[in-house]
Amino acid sequence: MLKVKSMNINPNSLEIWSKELTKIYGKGEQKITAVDEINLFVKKGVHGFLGPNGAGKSSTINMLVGAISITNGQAKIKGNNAGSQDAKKFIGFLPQDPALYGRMTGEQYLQYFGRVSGFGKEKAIEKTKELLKQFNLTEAKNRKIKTYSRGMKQKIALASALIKEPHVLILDEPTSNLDPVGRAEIIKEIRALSKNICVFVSSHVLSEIEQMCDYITIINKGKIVLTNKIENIKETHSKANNVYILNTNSNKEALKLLENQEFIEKVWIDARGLNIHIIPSDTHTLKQKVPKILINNNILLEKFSQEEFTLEDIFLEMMNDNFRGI
Amino acid sequence: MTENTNTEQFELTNRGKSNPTIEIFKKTLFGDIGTLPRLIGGILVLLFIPIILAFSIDTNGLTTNSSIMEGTFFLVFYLIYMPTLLIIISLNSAPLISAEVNQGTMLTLVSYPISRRNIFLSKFFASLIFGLIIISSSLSIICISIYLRFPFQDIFLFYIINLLNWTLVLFIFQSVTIGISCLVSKPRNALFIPLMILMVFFLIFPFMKMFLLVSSDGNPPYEQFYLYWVDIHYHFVNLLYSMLKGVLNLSPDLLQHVMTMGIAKYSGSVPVETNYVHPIISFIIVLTMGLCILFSGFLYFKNRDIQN
Repeated sequence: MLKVKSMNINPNSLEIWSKELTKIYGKGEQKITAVDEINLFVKKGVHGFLGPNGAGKSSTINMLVGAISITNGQAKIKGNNAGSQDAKKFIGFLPQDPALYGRMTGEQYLQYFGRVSGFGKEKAIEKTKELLKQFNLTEAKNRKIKTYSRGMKQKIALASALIKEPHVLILDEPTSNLDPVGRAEIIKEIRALSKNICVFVSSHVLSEIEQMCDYITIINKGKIVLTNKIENIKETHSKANNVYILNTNSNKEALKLLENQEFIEKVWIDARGLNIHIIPSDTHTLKQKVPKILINNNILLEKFSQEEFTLEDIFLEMMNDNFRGI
Repeated sequence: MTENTNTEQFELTNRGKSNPTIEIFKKTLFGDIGTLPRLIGGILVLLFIPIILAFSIDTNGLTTNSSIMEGTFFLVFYLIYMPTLLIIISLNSAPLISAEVNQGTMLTLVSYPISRRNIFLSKFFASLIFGLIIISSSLSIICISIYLRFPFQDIFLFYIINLLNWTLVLFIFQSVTIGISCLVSKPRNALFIPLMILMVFFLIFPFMKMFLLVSSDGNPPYEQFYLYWVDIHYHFVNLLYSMLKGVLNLSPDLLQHVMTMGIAKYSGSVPVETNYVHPIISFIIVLTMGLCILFSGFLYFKNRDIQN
C-alpha cells in the first residue's frame, strides 16, 4: 500500500481531510463496519474515489456531506467539521441516482436551490440562466423535470450542485446509468470544472476515473487500499511488474530465438499469439540485444516496449490482493 | 484557519438575501401541498354536506333569539366535518418528510447549509398554514350560508369557537402526522398510521363506548378501568363542550347534542353530563400527546442517517 508522504498535513490547508473516519451500521451481532478508520487528504484538482460496490464509497461521501452521522474519527471540509453548516457552504453534492422534484421545471428547480443556498432572487435567476446555458438545457428550461431524459436529469442535478458556487464538488457515481454520450458529456463538464474547484468523484468505472482524475484513492471493504497520483501509481506498478511486450511478423520464430538467452528470466507468448511477454533478468542487455537478434534473423520488429498497466489492471490486482488478505 | 479561508467564509456567509427556511416553507406550501386544486378541493369537500345541512335548517318557529345549537345541525356538522378534516390533514401532511427521505430528495436538501431543524419547522408550519386556510375558509362559508338561511344571534360566536376548536384539533393532529412522517421510512405507513389513529379513536372507540358505558351494577367498564384517560375523542369533545357552554351561555337542553358526541353517559335514554376530567386537563393531555409525538419525530429526523 502506498501511503501519503506526510501525515502531518494541516487539515485546514486541504479541501477534504479525514482522520480515522469510521461508519458502523447496526448494533451487536448485526454490526457492519462500512467505513473503517480511513484517512483522506484531498487537494485541489480531481480526486477519484474508487472501489467495488459495497466498498464504503457512498457511506464516506454521505458522512462528508452530513447526511449520515460519523461513528468515529473526524472529517473536515476546508477546515470545517463535516456536516456543519459552515462546511456545507463550501460543498456542492451530486448523490448517486439523484432524486429530483419532477413537478418543477428545470428553471424552477435551479432557482429554488439557488434561493436555498442563500442567494437573493436576482442572483438566483442570473446563476440559473448561466448554468442552463452551460449544460445546454436552455431550450428545456420550461419543461417539467419528470419529462427529462436520464442524461438531462443528471445534468440538472449537477447544475443544482454548482449553483451554490461550491469550492468542493462531491460527486457520487456521476455517470452511473448514463449512456455513452451522456457519460462523455458529464466527464467533459467535470474536467472543465476541475480547473477552478476541487472535485471529489466516486466511481467504479475505472476508465472514466483515468480520464478525469489526477489523484485516486482506492477503498475496499471499508479500508483504503491505495492513495496516490495516477501517474505515480502506474509508474510504480510498471516497475514492480517488469514485463516487456514484443511483437514481430513471426512471433513463433522470435520466441524460439529468445527462449535460451541468459538475460531473459522468462518468456512466453499469449494465448492468441499476438504478443511475446518477456521478464528480463538484465533489462539493459535485453533492450540492447533483442533488436539485434531479430534483425540478424531477418525478423521484422513491430513493437517492443515495457508493458503499460491501465488503472483497471492495477485496481483488479489490488482487489485480488485484498481478497487474499495481503 | 488561514486568512484565505476566513475571507472565503466571509464571502459565503454574506452573499445572499434569501432565507433558506422561508424558501422551503414557500415551496412546501405553494408547490407541494397548497396547490390551488388541492386548496379548492379540500374546501369543497369540507363544505359539501354542511352547506346542504345549513340550507335544510327548518326555520319555522325560530326567533331572533334562537341559537344555532338548536336542532341537530351541530351534531351532524361535527360528525361530518371532524373525520373529513382529519383525513385531509393526513393526506397532505403525511408524505411531507417520509416521502422526501424515501425518494431521495431529502439527501440533496440536507447537503445545503440549512439545519434539519429548520427543514422540519418549515414543513410543519407550511402544512399548518394550509390547514388553517382550509378551516377558516370552510367555516366562513358555512357560517355565512347559515346566516343567509337564518340570522341566528350567536352565529359569530359559533364561528369563533369552532375556529378555535378546529385550530386546536388541526395543531394536535398535524403534530401527530408530521411526527409519524419523521418516524417511519415508508410514505404509505406515514399515511396509514394517522388514519388508523383516526379510525380507532374517533370511530371504533366512540362506537364501543356505547357498550362500555352500560353496566347492570352501576359501575361500567369505561369508568371502572378509567378508559376516559386514553379516550382522545373524549378529551376533544370535553374541551369543545366547555367552550360552547362557557361562551355561548346556553341552557343544558341545547347542549345535549354536544354531550352525546362523547362526554355523556345515559340515565335511561337521557344523556347526563359527565365530569371525568377537567377541560384544562383534557387540553393538557391532547397537547402533550401531540407535542410528544412531534418532538420524538423531530429528534429522530435530526439524528437519522439519510441516504439513497
